[in-house]
This record gives sequence, structure tokens and C-alpha cells, in this order.
Amino acid sequence: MPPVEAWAKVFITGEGGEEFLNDTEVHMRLGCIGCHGGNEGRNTKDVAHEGFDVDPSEGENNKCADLCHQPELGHYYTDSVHATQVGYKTLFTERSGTTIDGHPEFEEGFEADCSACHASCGDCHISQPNNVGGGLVNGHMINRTPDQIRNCTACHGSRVGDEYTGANDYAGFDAHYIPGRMQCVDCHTAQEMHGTPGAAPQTRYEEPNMPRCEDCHSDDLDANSYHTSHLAGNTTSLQCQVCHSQTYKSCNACHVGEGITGSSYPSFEIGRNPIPDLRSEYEYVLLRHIPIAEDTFRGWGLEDLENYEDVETWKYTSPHNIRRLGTAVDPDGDGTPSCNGCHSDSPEQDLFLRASDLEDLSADEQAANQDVIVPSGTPFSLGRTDR
Amino acid sequence: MSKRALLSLLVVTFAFTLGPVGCSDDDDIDDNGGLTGPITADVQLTCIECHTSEEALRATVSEEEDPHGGEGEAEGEG
Repeated sequence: MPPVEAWAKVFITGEGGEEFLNDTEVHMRLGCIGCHGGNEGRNTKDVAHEGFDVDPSEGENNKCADLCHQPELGHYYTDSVHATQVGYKTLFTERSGTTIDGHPEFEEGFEADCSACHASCGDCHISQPNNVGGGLVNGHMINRTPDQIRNCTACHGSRVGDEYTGANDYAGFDAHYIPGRMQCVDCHTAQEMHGTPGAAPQTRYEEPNMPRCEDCHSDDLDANSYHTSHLAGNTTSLQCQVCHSQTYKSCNACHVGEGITGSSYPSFEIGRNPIPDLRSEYEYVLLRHIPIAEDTFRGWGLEDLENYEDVETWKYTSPHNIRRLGTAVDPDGDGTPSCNGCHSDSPEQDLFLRASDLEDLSADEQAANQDVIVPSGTPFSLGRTDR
Repeated sequence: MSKRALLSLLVVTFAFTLGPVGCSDDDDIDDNGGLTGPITADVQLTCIECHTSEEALRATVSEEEDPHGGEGEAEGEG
């Protein structure tokens, strides 16, 4: 994200600013103070901002839901992972055996190191997210659709954004990416972003309105022999991305208060599905290494994650760099399909996550990934799953 | 109306046109609500007057007080 000067972040200008200020029947009917508080009239800056709330869309009792949007957004702070960040807490508990909530030292650490990733209504619909420094996107206009660059990939840039736009030098852009055409919101709907009422997912893959390829491509499921022989209900069921994704980014070693202390690198690893309870139709999926380490939370006084070996660090992933022929079926990237990536006992390019891929990891991390690695040789013996 | 009365009326009208001088609240505001310079950090303005004026914001907002600061980037697991 290009840096924005502090004054410019709060400058109401341009067509968006004009439209917002003239919106006297809806949002400007409330006036500045109706949402933000502060003092009326001509004042010095300090007096004007007494009691001022920089983001009145934040929190369960936020102005948006409280004043007008209760029917459609009253559940945002309980049902959307963008608001609850519950996935962080769920995985923290699974790996540590304790909880963040109820432990002041962890709550303080979470507030300092993790809560910036939380999104208020305004972080998507008015300003750039706090996480990247804020700043009005369109002159304070309350945008129905978030801006793909200044909102969505402002947070989801290093992996999703770069993969989707082809910014990584080891992979091309996503087939769905044509600037100005398919935007994030075309797949990731408001229903998903705002959360499904009552769903209260504990991880993001539990969100019922998460997009699925077949939402658009249902007619393609039996369109060719590749699909009919590799999809659910057949002998071997693969996640769509196994054949249709390109190489994607993995990361090592993130530490609270320090950020990524390891490295990022291109990866493409097919493994056993680690979330069969949520994606039961897939036997093999793509896995991405995430930068959780045993001592990730040492900055909070938690030297080691007690149950680190219980949760895989090569995680189910949905890379956003889809092509008709992905890395697995076109390993040379020259448009020539090949089956040898998977259907060979001695493939030139081993696409499976093997025990040998874990050799540089700690014993605990190797143990954490035992259920997702693929034994030596091919698990696919041309039409038969050999597990 | 006599010439003397007309002249008096013109003088009074002209005086009001000039507006009050030395009123701190309005020193930086012209008759149309626009800003006149120079703008200083203690300028007194309404919310909209200030937040629609690049000059006023430059005079009153410093990088040091930026509540968000810096840049970050984050993505969840997987």
C-alpha cells in the first residue's frame, strides 16, 4: 500500500466527498457529530475533538448497527470471523491448551499484536483498514462495495493479493483476474463477509457462505474425464485447486511483536486433507506452510506451545492463482498437460508433501504433520487410491 | 431620498460588507464560508470546514499524532 500522509487520511474531497456531504437524507442527516461525537460549532481542533470517536463503526454497539443496520448487520460482531477473529483464538487454544480470554497477559498481547487484523464496518466500507494505517478511501463516501486494493488486499495482500494479480515471479495471475472485471466481492459475498446469522464459525472454513468453485462451475463437474475420475464420488477425490492452482507462497516463523522472522518461499504440496470434517468431499488437497512456531508467543511469556504437535502446520489452503492447467498438470508451464506429476512412482517433480520435506523441522513439528504427509511413491495408481 | 441620506446608507452598507474585524472565530472565514489565509494550528473551524480544506488539515494534523501510523499486513492461517 502506498503511504498516505496523516492529513490526507481525513481529507473529505473529490466526487466521493461531495456525494457524501450532499447525502443529507441518509448518512449526512446524522451530521459529523451524530456518529463521531465531539463539539458543535467552530472550535480549535482540540476542543472540536473532545469525546471524539475516530471509528464509531467499531464494536458490538457500533453506530451502524445501532442506528440503522441492525437487521442485516446486528450479528456481524458475533458471526463474522472478520470481526470475531475467533480463528486465532481457536487455534491458539488447540496448540497451547489454554485460552486467550480470561488471561490478562494474553488478552493484552492479543490486543497489541493481533487485534489490528480485526475489521470494523468502516475498515471495509469507509477507510483503509487500521492495519495499514487507515485513510479515507473515497472522501468518506460509505461505499457499498469495498475497494479491492485499498480494502481487501490491504490486509490480504502478501499471499492472496499477490497470487491473484500474478505479482509473484514464480506464478502467473489468476484466470479470474482481469483488472476491473472479477473482484474479490464477486466470490466473497456480503453474506460471507458479514457472517451467517447464528453460524458463529470457530474457523473460517466453517463459514457456511464461503464460496465454492461449483457455485459457478457446477456444469463443469462432469465436463471431462479428468473431472469425472478425480472428483468426489469417484475413486480419488481431489480439491479443485490440486489441478488448477499454480505454485503459491508459504512462510516460516512468525513471532508476536516481531512479525515474520523466518522466510517466505514458493511451494506446491499435495497432502491428505486435514479438515475432512469441513471438506469431507476431498481426500487430497493443497497444503500451505503457515509460520506458527513452538515459541511464536514467547513475547507474551508463553515460551512453548504445549500441544504444538496436535495441529498441522501444513494447512488446508485455497490458493488464489487458478489456471485451467495448474502446476500439478502442467509442471513446465508450457501448456502441455502431464499426468506424471502424480501418476508416477518416480516423478520428475515430487508434488506430494513427504516425510523428507519435514526433515529440517523440529520433532514436534514433524509430529504435527504426520497425518497430512503422503508416504513414498504415488498414492494414485491410475484409477485406484492406494493409501 | 436626499443625496446625504443616500450617501449615509452607502457608507453603512459598505461598513457591513467589510465585516467585523478582529473576531477570532471568523478571522479565517470569508463571507461564503471559505477559508482565508494564513491558517494556523489553532484555527477555529467547523468539522466540515476543516476536513474539506487541505490547508487547514496540513496546519492542524501532524504525522506524529497519526493514530494508526505505519503499515502492516496480515493474513490468517492457511
